[in-house]
Amino acid sequence: MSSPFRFDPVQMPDVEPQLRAEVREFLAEWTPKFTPWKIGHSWTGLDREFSKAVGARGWIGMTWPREYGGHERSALERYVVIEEMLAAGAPVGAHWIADRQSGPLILRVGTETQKKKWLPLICSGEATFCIGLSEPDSGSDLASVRTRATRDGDGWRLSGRKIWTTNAHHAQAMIALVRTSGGPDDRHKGLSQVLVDLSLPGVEIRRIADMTGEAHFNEVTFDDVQLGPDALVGVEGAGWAQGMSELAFERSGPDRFLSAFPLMPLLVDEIAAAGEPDRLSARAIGRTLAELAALREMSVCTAGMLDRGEDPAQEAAVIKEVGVTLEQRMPEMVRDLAPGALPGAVEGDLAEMRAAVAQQAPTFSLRGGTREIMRGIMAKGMGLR
Amino acid sequence: MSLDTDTATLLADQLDRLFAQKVDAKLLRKVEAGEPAAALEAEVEALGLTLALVPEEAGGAGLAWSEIGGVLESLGRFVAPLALAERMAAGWAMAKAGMEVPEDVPLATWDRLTLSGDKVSGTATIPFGRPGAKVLATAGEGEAAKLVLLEIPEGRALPTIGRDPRLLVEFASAAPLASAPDPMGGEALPAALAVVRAGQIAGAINHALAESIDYGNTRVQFGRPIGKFQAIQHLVAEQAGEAAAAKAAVQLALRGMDEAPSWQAAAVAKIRAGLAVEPVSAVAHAVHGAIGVTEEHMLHHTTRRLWQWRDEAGDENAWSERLGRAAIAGGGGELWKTVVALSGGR
Repeated sequence: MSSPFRFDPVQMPDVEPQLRAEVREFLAEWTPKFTPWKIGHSWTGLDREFSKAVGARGWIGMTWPREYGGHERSALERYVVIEEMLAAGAPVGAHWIADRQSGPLILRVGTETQKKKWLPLICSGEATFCIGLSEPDSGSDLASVRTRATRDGDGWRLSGRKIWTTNAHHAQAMIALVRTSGGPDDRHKGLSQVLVDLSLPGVEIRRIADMTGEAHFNEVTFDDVQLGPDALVGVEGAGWAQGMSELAFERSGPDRFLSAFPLMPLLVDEIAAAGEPDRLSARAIGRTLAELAALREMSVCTAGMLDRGEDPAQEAAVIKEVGVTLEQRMPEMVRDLAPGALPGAVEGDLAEMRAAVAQQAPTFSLRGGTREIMRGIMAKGMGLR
Repeated sequence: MSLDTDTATLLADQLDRLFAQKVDAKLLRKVEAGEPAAALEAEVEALGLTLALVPEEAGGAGLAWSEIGGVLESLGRFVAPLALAERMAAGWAMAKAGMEVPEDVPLATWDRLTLSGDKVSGTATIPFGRPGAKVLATAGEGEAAKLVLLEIPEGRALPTIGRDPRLLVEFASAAPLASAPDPMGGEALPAALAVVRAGQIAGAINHALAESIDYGNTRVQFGRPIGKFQAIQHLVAEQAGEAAAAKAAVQLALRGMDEAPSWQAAAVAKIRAGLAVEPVSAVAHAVHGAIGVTEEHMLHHTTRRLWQWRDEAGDENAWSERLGRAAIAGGGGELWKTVVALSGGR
């Protein structure tokens, strides 16, 4: 065995430099409008006007068919756009999840009605999606979800509760993993994915304040919500498999190692402003660049695999494991290296952004599957167990 | 070009078979005691691999860097006790400089010598060096830098943690047998050597990972294989993440050396592979327990060479400092562009 993971090199399209330049020019207009606090929120930060502007440029749903509002560009072109957005810390939260996974899922297994209704709205930046996975009693043990959709006439009746749903209060729709048959003992069997219009009666969204002093999370309660016949996404009973393949998109992207990146340019400028950099500061910056370069290589290669229809579940777990470890170190690195910061004070751009990132950093290795779950997946993939 | 091209697979398979047969504890002990692996060297020589990176019109095999990843990995996996990686690097640098590459490709050193007129001076560490053989070195700095071919004088055996032979020699106004301006302003040979070392490290690291998985699945404690314990699984997963990152960085550097060779491409590979050495070897030893640190067990041949190789051709600290200084001087506004460029983006 040379390596349990495959990272096959890909060729970026010729349009790469030009596209990159267009995105940078666009971002140069927008980023001055965002505070360091907002930038520190990376892809959970939300700005509807910004997402609409991104949509107007054709940078949401880039790979999707034109008939649904997409632009039929390659996955690698999309990669260029999203990494530029993340590197700048743009508040992409209004379209991020839909563009990354909900839209591709609908496109792959959704009905024609679902595609026609939702994909164009996602592409224009008007529809925000959230993901209904965790429940009050089901976190990492996702197969134990108890929210249930029951057949009711030709539609469904939905009851239960989802929690830790990022930006549900801004979202128009949720794709939820729910039980459609059997009980908790059936584990992966009997689970399905349903698309819930969050404006329906019986949906209650309660915001949950978090340690940053804000409220990104929500608890979403479904009290006998009547869903139409068209609520089922994909195949009844195939929710687990559908959900897992969706996760490869969620775990392998640049959002797994760039969430804290906007700190780095500010840190570098702060170090430079203090005069000739000391040996250890220079080392820390150089080392981080090498780590980022290796992660970007892994992530781009995985985007190529996804584009070819392969399932890089193992590779995605590795990227998330290595990537979030680096992300989580970045606010600490600022603390170690930034000269002249007032002890504990949140004053000045770098300190403000660091405060935002530091208070979110614990969630980096929770969201999208915890570090411990990732390590279990990797161990299993390598034949341990 | 990718690591999966037929030539690449074929070559690596050939080497794997040869090393699996010939590189064992007995041979490694012999080499560590100072006796060269002459028979193995002759067999590798016969494969013509030392000329792998030399263009066909210059008498070489004309392979791309991205085709020799498997060869480097094989050298690392079996900790093959010979200077093939160094000689491939030397052949490439000589050809790139327009020097005639002898069939008996010289050894190489990453140490920089000084240049005064036509004469070179300075101290050099030469892997598998022996007096009378030839070595390629870099002399001088920047635009004035030259690649120089030198005869190896008498020196002393340098004791190292890897215990492979390292000859420490002193050149005092030595006259090169041949020389040419360095095509990369003094960076060609150090970069090539850093990349091949990183490739060997990635191979050895993936071997340490495979051995850890294997031991985890076979060693029974508390009535079950220790690999069934989450504590072990998580350690090995951490190791696997580092191994994957090291391999990706090497793959990136190999492509970089084909497209636009630079010290930065080499730096990324050597830094990332070097960073992976400690966590990977620590976990390998943790999983193997006491048996893994015995002379009898093969694991130390891998871990000791990992500790040796990460220090050679520029350690991760030296390369990081250089990369970091350049980035800080460039300013924060250029930082993301640097990340993109370092990972092959445009």
